[in-house]
Amino acid sequence: MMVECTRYRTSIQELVDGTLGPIRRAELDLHLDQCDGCRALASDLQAIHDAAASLEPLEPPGAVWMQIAGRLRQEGRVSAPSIVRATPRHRAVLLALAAALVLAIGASILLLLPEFRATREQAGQATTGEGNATDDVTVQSVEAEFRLAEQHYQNAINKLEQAAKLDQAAAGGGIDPQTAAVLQKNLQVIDQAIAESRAALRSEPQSAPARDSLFDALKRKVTLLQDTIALMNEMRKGNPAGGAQLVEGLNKS
Amino acid sequence: MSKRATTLLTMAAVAALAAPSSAQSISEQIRAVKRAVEHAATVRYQPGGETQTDRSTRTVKISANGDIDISNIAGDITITRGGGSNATIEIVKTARARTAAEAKEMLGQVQVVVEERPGRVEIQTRYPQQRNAWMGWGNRRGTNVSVAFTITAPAGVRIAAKSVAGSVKVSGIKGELTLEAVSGSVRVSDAGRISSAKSLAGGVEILDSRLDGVLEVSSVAGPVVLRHVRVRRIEAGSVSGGLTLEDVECDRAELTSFSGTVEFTGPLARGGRYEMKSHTGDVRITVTGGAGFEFDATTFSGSLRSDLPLTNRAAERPERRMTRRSLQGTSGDGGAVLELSTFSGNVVISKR
Repeated sequence: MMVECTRYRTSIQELVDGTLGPIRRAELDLHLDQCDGCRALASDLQAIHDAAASLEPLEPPGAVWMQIAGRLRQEGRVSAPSIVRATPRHRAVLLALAAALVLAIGASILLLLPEFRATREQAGQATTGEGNATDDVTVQSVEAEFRLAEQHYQNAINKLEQAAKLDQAAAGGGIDPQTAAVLQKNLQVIDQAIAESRAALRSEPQSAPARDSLFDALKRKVTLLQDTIALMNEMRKGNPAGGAQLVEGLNKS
Repeated sequence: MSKRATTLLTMAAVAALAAPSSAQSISEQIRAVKRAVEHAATVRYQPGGETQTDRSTRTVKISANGDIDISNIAGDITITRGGGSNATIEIVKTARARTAAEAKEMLGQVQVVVEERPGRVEIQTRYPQQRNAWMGWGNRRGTNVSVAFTITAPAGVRIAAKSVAGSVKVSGIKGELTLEAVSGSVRVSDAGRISSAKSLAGGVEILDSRLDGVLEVSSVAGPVVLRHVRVRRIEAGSVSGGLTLEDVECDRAELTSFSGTVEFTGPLARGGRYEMKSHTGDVRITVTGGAGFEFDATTFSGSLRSDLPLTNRAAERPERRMTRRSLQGTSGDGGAVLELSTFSGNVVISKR
């Protein structure tokens, strides 16, 4: 299968579903004329689709999980982790660690994510497009890739969170309390999105919206933590006279 | 509030209560305490009781399409279009302290550095370096000085402006803008090119602009608003703020929020692609004009609604009718592509 075939996979799925619009249909037809692999895939998918049409529909109770999650939050059973104090000596080490993490983790995730998504797409077709000899990825390997990618994100988040929290607790982190509160509040918004997406995936492991939502949230959290640490460094580097204190004073007056 | 302030406010409250109470009802006593506390807070603890101001103006030579790079810590930056090839920089330093003498001393501690180079001017505020408990460096007493910049510049200049605690406002400048604020807002009108406009805690607003290139606009906690804007491509995002695009024309839009509503109102370009995404917020698109579109809308636990007559190809197939969380279809000639998704919000498609 050619590299460019990956961009037509969604269109093939939509073609089989009967939802492909005229513009992308025309593009896909051109490609199918030239590509035996994709033509075979489309044929396989159509056969599976026709067979599946005879099955009884099953509606998983995903919304129920969302209601439970919301109720747990309302009842205060979900609590934020406590902030660990650090000594001033740890600050410099943490800053260096944070800077290294920002570069190393960010780069590894950015490299990993496209690979994971490409693999997931391949596997998604392998599971539905049985008979296409070029796709040999199984459902199990997709799940493993998914868990691996999620674990990479979570590791990155854990380390970045630790660095940011210790740094902030040690000496104000260079960010004024109000800005820090804004960042904290928005990290909680993302945490909530992650928790909801994970709950959704527990109830519907194959839900594409839930998976996409989880990865969007994880990715955004890494970015926000990176931005937070970068802001701390910026405030120290560019505003050694106490910019954060000034910010606080200005916001109060 | 500091420990000392709390002590004095408590003393004021006790003093009020210590007044002869035989003639006072409970409610009068409560009112007396309230008045005493308010008075103490107003008179004794108003931050920066004395204010000193220093105004100065600099005129710098800059070419019609030169560069202005300005970095500020506390205070607004306002830039408007002027004529000729000079830029005029009005600098207002304001210090607040307990006494006028202290405020005056603080004014002298904060320097504004204006460096002129051929076709370029760099402006920075610099504060004194002393130890403090906050970030290792700073003034022990606290240097409560803000600096406001009002700049008039040729329309074609490129501007990079950053303010930590202050807003950034730019109007009538057609050169490339790179604008950033931490706790303040960013507001742009009548611009020609914006490479990025960002704020952390404040909102970002782009108005009445016909832009070249790609517009990148974001906030962490504030709303992002675009009104009467035409640009080829938009990338807009917020974590907890909403995204509102009204009367916006673009070929491609990527709009993402986590807890805010994402709204787009405007015509669709034939061949254009519009991706709108939120986690808990609604995704709403109101199409103006006659362009058709293909769409793919998904939600995990919300609802999907279209006020437009759509050819819902999925609904034509009985087995797809049960998929209430996903809807695909076509309106008109299907010339544009819409991808709309929200995790727990609603998706609404309408026409005006």
